[in-house]
Amino acid sequence: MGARIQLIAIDKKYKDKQVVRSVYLDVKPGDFLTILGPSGAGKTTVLKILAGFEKADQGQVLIDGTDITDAPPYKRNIGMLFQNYALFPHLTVAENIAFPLTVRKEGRAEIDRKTRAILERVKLTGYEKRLPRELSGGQQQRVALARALVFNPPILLLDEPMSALDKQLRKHMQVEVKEIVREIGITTISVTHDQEEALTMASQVCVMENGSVAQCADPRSIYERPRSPFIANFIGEANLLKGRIFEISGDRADVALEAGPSVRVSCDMIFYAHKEMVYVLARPEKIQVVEEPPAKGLCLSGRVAQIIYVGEAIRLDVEIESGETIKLKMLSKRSQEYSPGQAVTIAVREDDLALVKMEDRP
Amino acid sequence: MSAASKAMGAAPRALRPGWLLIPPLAFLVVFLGVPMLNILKLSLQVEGNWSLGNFTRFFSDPLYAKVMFLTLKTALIVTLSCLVLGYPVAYTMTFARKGARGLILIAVMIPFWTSLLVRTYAWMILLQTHGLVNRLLLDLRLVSEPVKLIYNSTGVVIGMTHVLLPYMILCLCSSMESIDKNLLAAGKSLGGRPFQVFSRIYVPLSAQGIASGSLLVFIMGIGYYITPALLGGQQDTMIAQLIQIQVGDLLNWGFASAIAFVLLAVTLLFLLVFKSFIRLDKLW
Repeated sequence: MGARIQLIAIDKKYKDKQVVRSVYLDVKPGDFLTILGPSGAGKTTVLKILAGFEKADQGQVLIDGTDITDAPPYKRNIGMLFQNYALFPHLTVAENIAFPLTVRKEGRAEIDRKTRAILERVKLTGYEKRLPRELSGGQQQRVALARALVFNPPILLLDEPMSALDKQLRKHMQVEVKEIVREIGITTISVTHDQEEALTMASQVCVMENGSVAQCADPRSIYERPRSPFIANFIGEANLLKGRIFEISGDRADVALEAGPSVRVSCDMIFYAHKEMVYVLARPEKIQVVEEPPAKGLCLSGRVAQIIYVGEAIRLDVEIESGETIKLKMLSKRSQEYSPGQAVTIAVREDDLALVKMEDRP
Repeated sequence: MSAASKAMGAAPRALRPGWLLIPPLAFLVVFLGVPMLNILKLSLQVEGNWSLGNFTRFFSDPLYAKVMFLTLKTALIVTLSCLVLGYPVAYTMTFARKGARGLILIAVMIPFWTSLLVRTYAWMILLQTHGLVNRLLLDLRLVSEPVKLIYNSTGVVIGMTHVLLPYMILCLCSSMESIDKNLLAAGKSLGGRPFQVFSRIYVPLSAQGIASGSLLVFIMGIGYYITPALLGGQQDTMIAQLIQIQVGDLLNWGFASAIAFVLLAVTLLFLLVFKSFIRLDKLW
């Protein structure tokens, strides 16, 4: 059902600015890839090159091995959900959805059947005669999705799909859209700057920075083993502690932290060298306040600098002895009471630490 | 909206801008309203007595119906020519870069700023039997003898189209500019070929501009005087010329006033009919 998408060495310049540089992507049939990055990272340009609205200066776009680099958008057979849905305001819901079928000159009966089927799928049966402006944001998005899927394309592109929705609806639609595309088995590429959305929806996340792909992996690997400080900070919150590797063997490295103690961190040896300066990553929710220092893992003592109550969780800023601030996040329990200035010992299990390269790229 | 934000949105009493309308309103009443009433009074009098004679004369003589029909026909042809010529210009302008767009706008506006009389005389020179246009046609051997381009309906249509074209273009532009370019991209990504996207999405979405531009050109066309008077022939008398003849040559002010009111009624009728199709407040 879904098609394989390959981008090979894509370069794109606007005037003097290199917006996409040497991007390679290989998306397996049926995968859900999210391209994540801050604004200006080039992610939308990649999507436009895929859709055929922009032409790459260099490189190739392959769908199931067929080169479509020079094909115009209307010959690509790719469904696209636009940021503001781009519903045709003068056409009804049914006419909007039927558009890709009518331009393909399909028969009346066939068009009716497919339109009805897809409307049912996006739960909008009964809305056929409405105009787009008479629908809510969520309903408009469903219509746009139905329109992008009704002609059975092997590929679906989503451009910041949730940005026009409020937070509640956004979470709901993330799950719903994910479910629909999974059922159909269509290969999907989504572009977003919302890291939570990326982690929720995607089976593969590709982080872009300054026009290049910084890391491409499944959501868990990206979150737990980010390849650069940029990725670590962009996805979730990160405590990065500077240190030097003084011992490396097998899949473990011993790092002397500038903050004092040494820790053992699991890592992939081929990426790191003896005496290399690195960051040790500890995610805020992996850090705990402990009574007794544990035998293994990282242990630091410090003072509570700030306490922020965010409902289901408490966030603590702990200033450790070296002067750095460590962010903690823990579920709020009735028994927990912290006050500013209070001395605490914090610890992270060895398995919850990760090494991060100091430079962005090896 | 809450009461507070409503209060924020409204101007304080002292600054309510309603009184700003008083000067122009007074101007209109004194210089348009009063004369109009005078004309109405004149039209309802024959040799000093109240009578509907002027109107019955207009409607009973087939000559006037013929002139009325010719006027509407000419205005319609001019409207269509403006649309055919103006649509591509407005379309190009909407998609042009800033610099090119400015140039096109200036090209559209220059005739707009030039005196109507000057432009009409210019057309007389260009279109006359041995004028530039005929010279060109002859030299290119497209015709073997000069074509009659002036003192007939061809001349009138050419001249009026030229004068009214900017109105059409500006109306079209303002509606085309509001069309979201993403819709065209969406149309293409959904498999629409360029022409399909144009005819099924772009044209319907610019319908507002087509309607308002056509209405404006048509209504202005019905009342045109100078261009048909200078470029038309005896057979091409339009309703405004008829009024002029009654006023200037025959000194029949009462009948002239009656014709003027018929013209006004026809104009209002078209406005009313079109009002159901378009929103008049979007005319500009």
